Amino acid sequence: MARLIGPATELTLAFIASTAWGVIFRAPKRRVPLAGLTGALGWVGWMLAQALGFEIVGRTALGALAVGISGEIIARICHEPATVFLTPGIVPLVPGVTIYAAMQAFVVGDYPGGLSLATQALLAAGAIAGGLAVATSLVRALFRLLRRDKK
Amino acid sequence: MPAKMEQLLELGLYSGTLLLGSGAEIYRVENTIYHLLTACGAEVVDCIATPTGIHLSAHAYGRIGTRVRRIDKRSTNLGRVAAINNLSRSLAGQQNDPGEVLQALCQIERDTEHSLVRWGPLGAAIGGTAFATLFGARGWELPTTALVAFIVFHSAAFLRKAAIPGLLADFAGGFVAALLALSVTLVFPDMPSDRVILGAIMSLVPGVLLTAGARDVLAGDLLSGIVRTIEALFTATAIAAGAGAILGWWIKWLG
Repeated sequence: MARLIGPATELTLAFIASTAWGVIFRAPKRRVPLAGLTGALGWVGWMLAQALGFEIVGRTALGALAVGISGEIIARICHEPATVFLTPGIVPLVPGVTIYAAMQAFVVGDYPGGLSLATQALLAAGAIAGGLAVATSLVRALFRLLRRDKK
Repeated sequence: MPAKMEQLLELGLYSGTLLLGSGAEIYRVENTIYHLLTACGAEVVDCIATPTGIHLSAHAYGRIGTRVRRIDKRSTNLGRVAAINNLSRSLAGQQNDPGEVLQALCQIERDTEHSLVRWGPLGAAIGGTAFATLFGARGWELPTTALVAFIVFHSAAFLRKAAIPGLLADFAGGFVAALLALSVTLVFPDMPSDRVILGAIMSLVPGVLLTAGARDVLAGDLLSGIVRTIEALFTATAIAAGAGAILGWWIKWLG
């Protein structure tokens, strides 16, 4: 896919999308912009993976890792549950395009193509889960270390 | 059983019902129940939460009480999760009366009962358009996506309110999105419909289930993690099937 919009525009769009989903998921009103920020930071991970030449699964994994790390840190700073930021934050990473393409392939009877795309979408969804999981554990370990230093 | 004990058990079940019905992770539900009850004088609290029910057993005021509650209404309300989390945090370390905490919970339920009628469709329109643009929508596709997403969100919300099962509402959402987007291409044949449909169905995408499911598995709540992940898979399939049904007919008769 040719790049038609600049990175700054992409980040803004990711911010808008996550903010909107903060509203749809009824996040606390004053935290909604921070949910958007989480989504935009996640998109940084996506763009980084894209620049490194990763395909959709790798991009999603790195994006989810970025969402997870930023969401968990923001959550600890404002004493809110991490879900408030993580859930809207991952929305731009959801493999909607791939699922849609898989569906299109199935509709026209291209079963091998559809299966391959559906597998990609499934792996991307797994990458979201994995990225979030790794990020949560990393941030938890990091904060445990910081707390130990304080004592 | 004394009234205070009844209140204590009700407190646990009520907070758990609110949390599970708002999309909280299992460990958060179980921890919150534990903390709330301990802050009200319970000595031993055992709790098992699943996405569809809570089992609670508590030892307090010299007695043991056990309750089970079935959960059937589930939606997403992150503000409610955050508010209950803050309540439980503020009660820690002091002696509280279960009746008062119960009232505080009722207050939270009322305060966070935001209807999505006004902002939900708008959020779906703006967010869906942003998502579609991120993946290549240009020019006239943008306002079309916004309009279709707006209508799709309204129709899915309407169906859910009419007690149509969630998966059917998602199917219908995909159906409506594809139908509207393809109808627009009858008037404007130059406009591709793919990204319009994509942006419009995004508001139905099971993001909460995916996140909560992943965090459940990580926390060791395997049962709930698998249930939520599978529900996310079913939802995504239902949406795609709804859009695919229209797309298939369209290609056959009008393509």
